[in-house]
Amino acid sequence: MTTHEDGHYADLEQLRRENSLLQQRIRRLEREAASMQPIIAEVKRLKIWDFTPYGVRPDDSWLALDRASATELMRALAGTDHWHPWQSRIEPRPQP
Amino acid sequence: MVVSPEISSSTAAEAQDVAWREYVREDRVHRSLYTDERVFNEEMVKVFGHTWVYLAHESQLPEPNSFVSTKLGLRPIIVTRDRRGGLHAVFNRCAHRAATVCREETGVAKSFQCPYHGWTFKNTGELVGAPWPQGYGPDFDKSEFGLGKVTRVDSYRGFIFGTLSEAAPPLADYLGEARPWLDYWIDRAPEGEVVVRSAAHRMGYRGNWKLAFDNAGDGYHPSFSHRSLLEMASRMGDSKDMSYFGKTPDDGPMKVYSLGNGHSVIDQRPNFDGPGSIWANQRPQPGREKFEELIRAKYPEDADRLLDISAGGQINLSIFPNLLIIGNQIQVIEPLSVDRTQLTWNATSIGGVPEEVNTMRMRTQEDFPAFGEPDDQANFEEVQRGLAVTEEEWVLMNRGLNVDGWQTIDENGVIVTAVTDEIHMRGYYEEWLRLMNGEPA
Repeated sequence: MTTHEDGHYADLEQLRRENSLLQQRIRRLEREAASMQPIIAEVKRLKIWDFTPYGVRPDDSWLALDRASATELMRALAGTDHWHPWQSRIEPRPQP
Repeated sequence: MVVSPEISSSTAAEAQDVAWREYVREDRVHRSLYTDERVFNEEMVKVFGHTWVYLAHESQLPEPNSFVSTKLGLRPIIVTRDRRGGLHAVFNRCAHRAATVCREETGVAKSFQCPYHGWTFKNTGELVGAPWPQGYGPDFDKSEFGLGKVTRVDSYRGFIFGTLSEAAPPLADYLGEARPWLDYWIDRAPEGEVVVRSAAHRMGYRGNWKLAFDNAGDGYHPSFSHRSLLEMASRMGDSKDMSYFGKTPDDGPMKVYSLGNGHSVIDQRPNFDGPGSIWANQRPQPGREKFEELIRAKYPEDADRLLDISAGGQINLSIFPNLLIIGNQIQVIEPLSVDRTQLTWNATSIGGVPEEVNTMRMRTQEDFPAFGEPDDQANFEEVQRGLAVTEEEWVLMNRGLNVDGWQTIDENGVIVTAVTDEIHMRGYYEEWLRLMNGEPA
């Protein structure tokens, strides 16, 4: 009997340790995810303008970005958020 | 005698020669002002173009390079902040083949790229460039192909107006005697900070845009048009918001003020006395009692004031031609065609108050805008239907005209009169007439 109960306690203790470790891990992942949110939000707001067809030199309010890097960045961003897809509010077209 | 001023001109240029005075009498206006497409087209040029028209609120442009898509009459425009914070309004119309360059409602952008052929413009309107410019030859001058601009844009305490007229008076002068009323409404916010929130109520009706303006200053209709609201209020006890319209309003303390330049205001505040009175007379609303308990528990010294500013301002301020201040809302009239109009109710929050107050202010969208406005819009549509009777030519606005003892003039030249006086219509039609005739302010 005693051996059987000891076994239960050991299982319980192990589950508690696992639970504690998982909770710690969740908290760490939540912190990490929260710290990434502003970066993702800013990247979503990033204005990228391909100036090459215009034959103009962008003024000093623009900064150059490597084209391949930008493409990869957009590809990575596209997979970040399925709950709040990357979108903008379209101007309403009233048709009463 | 029935005069039949049929509009015979077929072009805008010819229509300018029409004696508009024939259509706007002292006591009546002609039905064609609500039904004739040519009149509407003239209005879109002269009324919504040659005077100050409300465009947007500064809180909708919170940071450098913010923009809001809106309209000036039928013209799609973009109101923008440049990178230094200056306000601009440009036509949302590509200089190339006329497509709109911006199709988003609001956002942040220092330039707009036309989705059609890629022409790109700064948010101040200048053309940055057209793709593959060699196709336009060496003489292509970009400075000639910017977005058209609303030439005058100005803001009064956050309310942005624009006009295409160089002859229009300064904005503050145009607002004139409406300013103290707008100030009162803004200063209900302890620090004067008003924020237009998202989730506006947009409602379209099948009627002319002026029907909304006819109604906004009309203290005659509530007893009848809003009967269901008043009866509900009566069941909940007397003296609930607007139930006072059900008594004999001309003998009551409410007044209508004709403010000049087409503006008017109904002042409902004399129905209320002392702090907490506005709140106490609001209509029932789910959660209202709990909200009051919360405010009284958390802010016992200040509860009445906070409750009062949770409810509306108790004035109905009409600023010609498209801005209506009602309750806590900024309502905008947007003409779509001679018999199609959209009304937008923008909810507002204010700075300097506990967040709970703003929650309740947002919930006022559930009250009159959702509950009372459909009554009005149903009437607008039924008026438009009635106007199809061509044999009956006139719409009356004669109530209160030459009635002894109703009207007084205050020291600023503002006419004060009984709340059912149709002076608000007579007043704005004078301004309409001036604009349609191209006369100086």
